[in-house]
Amino acid sequence: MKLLSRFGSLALGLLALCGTLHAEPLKIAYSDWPGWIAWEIGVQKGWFKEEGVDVEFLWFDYVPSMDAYVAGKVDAVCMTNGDALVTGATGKPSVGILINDYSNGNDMIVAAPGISSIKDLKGKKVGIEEGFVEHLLLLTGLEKNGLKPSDVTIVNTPTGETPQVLASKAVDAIGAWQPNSGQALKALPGSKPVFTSADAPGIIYDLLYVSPESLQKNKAEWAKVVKVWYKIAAYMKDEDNLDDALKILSGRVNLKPEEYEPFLKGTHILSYEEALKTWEKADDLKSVYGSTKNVNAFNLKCEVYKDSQDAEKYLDPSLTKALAPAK
Amino acid sequence: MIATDIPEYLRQDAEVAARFSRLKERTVALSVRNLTKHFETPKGTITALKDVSFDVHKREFMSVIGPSGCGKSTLVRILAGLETATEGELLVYDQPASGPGPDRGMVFQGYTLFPWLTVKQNVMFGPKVAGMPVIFAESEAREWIELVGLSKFENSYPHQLSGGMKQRVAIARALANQPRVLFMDEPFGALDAQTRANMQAYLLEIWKNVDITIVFITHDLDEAVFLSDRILVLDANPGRVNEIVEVAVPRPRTFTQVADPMFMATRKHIEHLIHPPGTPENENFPVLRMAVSDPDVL
Amino acid sequence: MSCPDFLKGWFVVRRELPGSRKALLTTLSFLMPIALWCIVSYVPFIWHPDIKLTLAANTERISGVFTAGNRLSRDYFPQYVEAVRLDNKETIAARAAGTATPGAKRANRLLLRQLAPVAIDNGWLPRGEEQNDALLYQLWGDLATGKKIALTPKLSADNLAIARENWAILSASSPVFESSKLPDQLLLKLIPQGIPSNPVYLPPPHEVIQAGWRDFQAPRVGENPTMGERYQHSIRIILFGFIWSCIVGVPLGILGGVYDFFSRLIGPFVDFFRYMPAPTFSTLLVAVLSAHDAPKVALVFLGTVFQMILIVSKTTRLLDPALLEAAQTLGAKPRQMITHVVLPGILPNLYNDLRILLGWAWTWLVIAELIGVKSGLTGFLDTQGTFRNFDRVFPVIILIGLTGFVTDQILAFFHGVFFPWAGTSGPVSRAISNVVAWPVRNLLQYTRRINAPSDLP
Repeated sequence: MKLLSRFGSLALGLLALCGTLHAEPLKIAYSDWPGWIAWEIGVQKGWFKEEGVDVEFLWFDYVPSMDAYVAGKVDAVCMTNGDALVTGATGKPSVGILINDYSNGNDMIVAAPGISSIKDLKGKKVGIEEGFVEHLLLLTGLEKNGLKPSDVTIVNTPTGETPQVLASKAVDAIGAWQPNSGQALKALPGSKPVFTSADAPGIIYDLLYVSPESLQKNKAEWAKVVKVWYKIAAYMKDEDNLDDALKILSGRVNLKPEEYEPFLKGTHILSYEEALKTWEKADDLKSVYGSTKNVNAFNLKCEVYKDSQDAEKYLDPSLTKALAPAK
Repeated sequence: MIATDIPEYLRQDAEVAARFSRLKERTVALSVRNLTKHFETPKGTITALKDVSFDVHKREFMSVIGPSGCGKSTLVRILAGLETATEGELLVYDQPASGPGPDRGMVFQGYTLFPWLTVKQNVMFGPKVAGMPVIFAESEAREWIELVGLSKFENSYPHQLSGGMKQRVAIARALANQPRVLFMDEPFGALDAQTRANMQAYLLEIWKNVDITIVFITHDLDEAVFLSDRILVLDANPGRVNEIVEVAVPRPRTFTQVADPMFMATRKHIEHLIHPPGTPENENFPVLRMAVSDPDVL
Repeated sequence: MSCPDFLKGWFVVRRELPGSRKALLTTLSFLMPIALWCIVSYVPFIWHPDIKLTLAANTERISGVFTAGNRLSRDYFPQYVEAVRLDNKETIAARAAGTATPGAKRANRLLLRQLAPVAIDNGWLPRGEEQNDALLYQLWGDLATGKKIALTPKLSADNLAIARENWAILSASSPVFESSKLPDQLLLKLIPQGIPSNPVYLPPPHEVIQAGWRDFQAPRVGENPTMGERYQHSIRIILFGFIWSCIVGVPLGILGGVYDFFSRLIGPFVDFFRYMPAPTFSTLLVAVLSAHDAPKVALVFLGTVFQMILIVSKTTRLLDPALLEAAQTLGAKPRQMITHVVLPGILPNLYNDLRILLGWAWTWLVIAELIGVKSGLTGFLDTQGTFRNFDRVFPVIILIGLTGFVTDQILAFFHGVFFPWAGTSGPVSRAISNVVAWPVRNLLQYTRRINAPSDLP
């Protein structure tokens, strides 16, 4: 018995010592949206270490990444501006410090063969992750085509499973983003996208959202993270780097580079100048503020949450703007 | 003194009579007074034992016998302390006893040796749990193993031994605690006839050489008469004392005595006690009449 | 109707078959499913409803990017081929009309890489070099001029013609690959080719073996763990979950088996909790513990411990009560009854129970690893499954099954070594336990002798 307690206290002591040896890195949760897969380029090329910032990127499925953020297990998460409002209204607010991109076709509603337009979805079943970005896309599409939300039946499906669900013909259409939507198109040959974010540009912006506490404590570190992002963005825009970038990007999601290449069009990564313009406050979809206010109104109308969210509280352009002289 | 109106089995030689009077003068090792045991069942109260009283003297060999259902096993379990009596008292050398303990050893019908221990470790078990240092317990155990003649097997496991050997180990194990009384619950019931005969002779040898009082439960009349000084015959439903028979067969006992008239008489008497004539067990089985009988057979 | 004579020896009611026949049937038990798999995969006229692409082309007419190795249904393949042919017709028309196509250089570069899968399968290009444009450029020339002939797979006559046409344009521009010298007009796409195959979820055995070999050999790539590391990670999770289960479950189980007090106190609650499906706790566990390994270990723990408590209680209760009575008559006190009789007595059955529960814990592996950050073997299975690379999924599934099976067999064998009295020992285990027991016993005796007081007779 004595031996056991002695051993136990020694073990505890060692564990405590291990804990204090490393300072906590910034934990960022990312998932399989092309605008966020791009972070992988910075990770693999060691640009974060070069910049002197200690970050740990944790790979999740999209919704579990937000769950981990709400549970406080990560300091930041990559989300759409709409989903930031949803997680903020129901659990934990966040501050967007950096706009990665806007969705330009990579979010899509894929319908089974025989359905040629979103109008044909009336009375049919759609597999979608309820309450999140594709749900928003679907409702936008329905509204633009004169249909009501009640005209379709939502079947709650995790986005990663939508290809199988579509192929099994359990639903007539699914909502997903690349690379999942591409898998769905391949899984059920003859299926096609009937509504994409290219049909409603500006409703989906993708940002890096940081917890207010972490932002306050580590402002200098987060600024460095933003700097690395624009290095990544510049790298991807150069055609000479295309093959190398594609290798890293496609490797992260286990695709072949030629399968990944079409995604570059559907996710418009903002250059620094484009980003500055998007940060300007306006009410239209060309501004991230306008887009967020628009999504808020939409969410309230469709009763995703009850309390209106203040778009200004979720957005902080200061770190991006601070880079201006260097860029 | 031969009187014609005394049943034959009671006629004791002078030697035998003297032995018995010496026996009855010895201290009472085990005293049972008005032992009663009731069981509660859904069908009502069952009385297993009613007012059982008897004495067992020091260094005596007493058997307990009776028809099935007479409560022999219940009685010996109460005496060993594994069950409690509803009424009555039990004294071991004038000390009241309740609950099991090493002073009342028990040898079970199913051997119940500890299968994960070797023979030596099994026999050492009692002294060890009593707190004896291992080295002393070991040498104690070795002595007892030698007594039962299994020295060569002291590092064997029970599953490697035959039935007779296992029972010898069980006896050694119980004796290693130097109990005051040793109870044996039909210990040779599971053995074949040859081994049983050997074990009976063996048991008498052990009893001769060890300072021990034995209470022996059996259903085998021959065994009871062969082994014991006195036999407690029980009645069934409820279990009570029928008679305590003194076995007049002289010691030392050998198997040739089985054909002796005294042996036979005692045996017959006990048989009548257990199965009185006129009861269903005594009637002849009805004769089967078959259409064709084979004259060759009978 | 009686059994034919040669079969009579095999079917005898309730009698064990002799050793040689047992061995034969054991081998058959594994061989038969494998044989069935081989038959369905390799006999071309059984099933095979899809076409597996050996040469793929990119076309915007169909949604979805197909690459070599993907499977298309037999109905869809002609549509795909037709779409590519239409693209080529358009290209020819544009050429005739003289209209330029923007981004032709990049498109042509990608077009050249169409040849990569054919080159790899014919052994002209090492796997992993799909973007080696210089080598591919040369191959186009070799195929067009006839210096190399594609055999596995063959290039269709149409495709050979297209290759020659393209090479005429390419060689006019430059004999070797130079990205700046790629032609400004679009080259013709190669027409997709394919072979009959089973659907993607039933890959043929050789593909499974090749994919497994490749994946298990693959070296580290960036942050992605190797298969060996994943395997160790998975085993660690199961082991820790199981060990924690034992630490909590075995003492509680034994207490419940020995004392009715504990049985009545914890039994009903454990019985109730047992029916709550462990995966429902996954989000709760991530919230309480970190996002790394702790919730996975916790899930395996929750899935195993309640069964363990109940099974260990039952095993303890099944101990022959006569042994306890014997111990009592030998003077054992209650605490000694537990340490000296109950614990050693239930050990053989407890070992078997724990062996079975370890198998039970293994079944929680996949579900546990899906919580939070996907890790270990399941992380691999999940991504490959979503991308429908089932030829990479099967080897991992087989590995998990084999691990559980082999571990169980080994542990079952050691039952005979540890517990020679329990009747499961064969000659080998008895030999092993004798070899181990002899020095142990003599060592113990020696230490006792040197520690003994000096006045021992």
